[in-house]
Amino acid sequence: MFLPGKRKGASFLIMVVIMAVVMSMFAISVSQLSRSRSSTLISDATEKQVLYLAEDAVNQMILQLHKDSSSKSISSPDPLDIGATFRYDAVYTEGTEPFNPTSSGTVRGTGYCVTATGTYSKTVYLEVQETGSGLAGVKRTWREDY
Amino acid sequence: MARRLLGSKAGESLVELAVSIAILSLIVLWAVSAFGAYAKTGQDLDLVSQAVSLADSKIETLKTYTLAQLKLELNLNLPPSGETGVVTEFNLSDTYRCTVVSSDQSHNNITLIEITMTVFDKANGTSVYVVKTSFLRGAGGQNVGD
Repeated sequence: MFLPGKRKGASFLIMVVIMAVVMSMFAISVSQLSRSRSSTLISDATEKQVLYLAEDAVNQMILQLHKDSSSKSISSPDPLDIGATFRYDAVYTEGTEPFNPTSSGTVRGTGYCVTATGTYSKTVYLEVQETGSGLAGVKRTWREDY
Repeated sequence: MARRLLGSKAGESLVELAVSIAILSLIVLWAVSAFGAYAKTGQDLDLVSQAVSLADSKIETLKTYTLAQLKLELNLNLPPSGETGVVTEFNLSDTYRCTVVSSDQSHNNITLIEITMTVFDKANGTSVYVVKTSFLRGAGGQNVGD
């Protein structure tokens, strides 16, 4: 049908369509890459925000335990001043997980970022020891969850 | 004459060529705009990334401070505590400045200093990153579990 010399325009049209398909795929790849890069780097910022919130939760729990040792959990106000997608909570348990068996207990503070695609959280654990003046933090460790 | 023109294949290739060029132009425009968006996303994210890094560095520096140094740096003047909403400004770089809103509260020998740090782009005054955290200081002003 598209013999050389007979329908040069049609052959050219086919070539253009093929080029268009290739370029479209390329453009789609670029825009997907852009979206992926955006979400990756934004999550780097979110990761820091959530970690600092978890540390804040742990610190507030320690102060709360000093004020009233029977109050063993706290949670963030709603909404939080850095954004409605963020929140935190903390709890004190006398268990020693994940620390050594000689500690008095553990404060577990978690920061959350809740988005339409899911919840990202980081948990900070603070090993605490009973001292003469109350509970004192000894060692921190953390883990993250998606 | 009309029959000759209608039956003629002359000009068909030209029409096909014009259609091809039009399609190709649209695809090229789309690809260029996709590249433009990618470049813009990259620039924006580099800015956010810089802001996150500067804020992080500032917070990590504050973490190393004793209670007296922290109170001095954050303009928390009342001894021993009880101030809220104290605003301090810091210059982070040629591009960024930050405001830190601090509050402090104590119980017995323990002091909690909470901060909300907002990083602004100096050029247009827009907020690019906000983070909330706190520092806990025990008896003698030393760090608690940091």
